Amino acid sequence: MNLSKTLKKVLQEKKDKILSEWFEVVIHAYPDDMAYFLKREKDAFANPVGQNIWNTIETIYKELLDSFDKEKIASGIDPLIRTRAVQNFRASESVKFVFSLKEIIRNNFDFKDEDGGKSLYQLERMIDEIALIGFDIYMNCKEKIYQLKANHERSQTMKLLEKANLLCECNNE
Amino acid sequence: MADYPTSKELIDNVNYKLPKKGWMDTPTTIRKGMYCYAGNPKSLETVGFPNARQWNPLDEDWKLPENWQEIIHNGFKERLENFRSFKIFMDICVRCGACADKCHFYIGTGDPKNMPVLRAELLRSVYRNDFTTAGKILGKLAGARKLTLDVLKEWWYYLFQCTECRRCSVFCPYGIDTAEITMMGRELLNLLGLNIDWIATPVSNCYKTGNHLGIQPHAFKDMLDFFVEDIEELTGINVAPNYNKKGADILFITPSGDVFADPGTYTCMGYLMLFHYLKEKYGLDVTWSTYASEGGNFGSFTSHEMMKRLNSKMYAEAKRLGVKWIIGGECGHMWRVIHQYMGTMNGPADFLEEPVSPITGTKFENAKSTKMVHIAEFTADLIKHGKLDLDKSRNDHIKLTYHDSCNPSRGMGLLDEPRYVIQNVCNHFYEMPPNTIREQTFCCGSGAGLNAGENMEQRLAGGLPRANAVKYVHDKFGVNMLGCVCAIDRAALPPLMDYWVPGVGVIGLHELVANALIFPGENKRTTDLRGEPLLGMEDEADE
Repeated sequence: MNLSKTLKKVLQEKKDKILSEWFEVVIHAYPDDMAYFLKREKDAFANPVGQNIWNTIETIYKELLDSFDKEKIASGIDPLIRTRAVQNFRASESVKFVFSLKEIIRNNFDFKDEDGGKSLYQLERMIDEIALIGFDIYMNCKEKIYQLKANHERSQTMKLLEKANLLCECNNE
Repeated sequence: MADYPTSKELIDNVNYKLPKKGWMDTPTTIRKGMYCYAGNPKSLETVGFPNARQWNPLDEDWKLPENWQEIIHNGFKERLENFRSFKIFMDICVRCGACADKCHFYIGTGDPKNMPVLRAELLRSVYRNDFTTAGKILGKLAGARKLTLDVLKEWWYYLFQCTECRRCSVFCPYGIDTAEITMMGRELLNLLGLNIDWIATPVSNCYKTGNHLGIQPHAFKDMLDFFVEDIEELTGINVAPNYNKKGADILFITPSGDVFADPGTYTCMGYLMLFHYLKEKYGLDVTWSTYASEGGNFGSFTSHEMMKRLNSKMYAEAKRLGVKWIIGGECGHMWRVIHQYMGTMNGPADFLEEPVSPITGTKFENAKSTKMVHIAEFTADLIKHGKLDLDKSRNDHIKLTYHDSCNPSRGMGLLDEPRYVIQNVCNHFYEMPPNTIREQTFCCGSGAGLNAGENMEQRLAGGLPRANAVKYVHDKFGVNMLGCVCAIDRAALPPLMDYWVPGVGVIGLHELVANALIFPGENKRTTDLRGEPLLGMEDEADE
């Protein structure tokens, strides 16, 4: 998948504006107080979620314009999706922010002049692809959480059973 | 030059709209994964807590006594009269917001009711309504509200989303200790039998059998004996400890998590090895107790009376055994209780001697009243005086960073001693960013009784800021191990790392010490305490 040169050029020119609008959309999934904090606090260690949001949307945007490397997209989007998987978001809400990029780009360009809408179609397919990668990561995170819960319960009893010699290995022979 | 916003940015950010809804009008929904199961009624009965019954936080009916509002009102009144600090904390907050974004739960969950100021407002709003003239007359205008069932449920939900870590209080210009507000709030909830099982059952177990897991004396001894066998296999040295020995010099008390839960068990092996080394070389006589077999004070998460009852067991045992003083292991809240409350709660412990190390002669002035010395301080003093024979290179396979456990760091100022020990037993040590360590350390997200399994989402969200700083040193320096001095950390941080920073393990300070400690006549070591090959010993370790 690749975008036309014309589209890449305009996306590059409007990069700052689009990213800033996209950031606003992402942070407003949170209550107003939190959204304000996510935007205001620039220290990456005092505000890890805000930092994750910036890093994620920058990586995705870069990959849209660049090589569209799925591994890089996955590692770029991971911290934000991983965060949402433990916050108060449903699965759909957790990946929704990816789709919002479509509307932001549409609002910033007049695509009628482009090649009969082909570029727009191509761009939106790529954005859909990113959302699907995000959804896979979300599911992996949820599975991980359930695994951690299961491990927690198991570790409560296993050690004592082992020490009390109540466990034995079965011999199949 | 600092990165100040431009005037245009400032103007663009001005928002003249009122918020859509005030916090009082934003209803609370109790969400799965964000709360712990209700306390088992049998556990409440053991210690005589009121209103013991089966209940479910998701049910509409919490099975409260009919006069529950009166019980809370009277309980509130009693505590305002008894605790000047509580009264002051209810009155003096000016809502400057300095604490608001310092809480790991707020940063991690994004829920405004996790701002420390707002968590405290949950109680203050009722305080104003019930106890201030302005609140009584002006009501909501003065920030007051009646204690309804929804408000009570909101209290329960958010007071158990606080780990009492006190990071917020570091930033409060008035020095308001929001953790103490949480403690008071939890006391009030306990008057109605509103507790969580991860606290209620450990409290009951500590009261009945001496430790939070309910391990009975013989099983406690069995566990330590297993460690002794493992150590003998590794070193060829038998480090069998004393149990309940009358007339020993020192009583050693550690959290029972170290005896039971990996990777704390390796820290426990570290204590056994250190004390044996000191016994052989300097004749130090330390005893363990199967009665005072828990350092952690789960009572402090319920009420000051329960905290006192559990704390008294450690001193009763010290008296019974006739030891001179006590060494405490790597624990979290045990140290907050000892350092901040013991002196006036069950102390001063005048029947014990003021702690002086018989090996170095160092007088531990800070433990003059409590007679209890932190093992990190004790070991740091031994190293400072050249009393330990150490081989740092045995920890060369470890790239370490250090998490200041909240209670020892903020609760008692133990900042440099663990680092001094680390510098003497490890060659590869990397600090996390300054605003995430020492007094400003971020909590593990599972303290104050929240280290359960059912609230994993809550724990992972609360631990996000801590994990984020670990990830930074992991990516930058290849850090593969996170050190700490708290048993809850050792239980809570492994899943946190597993989720956010895979590839980073968790280790206690005295496991590192024991790896490096050279015993006279010991076997050549090819692995560490966990059986992992030492650097350059990979082939020999396989044999």
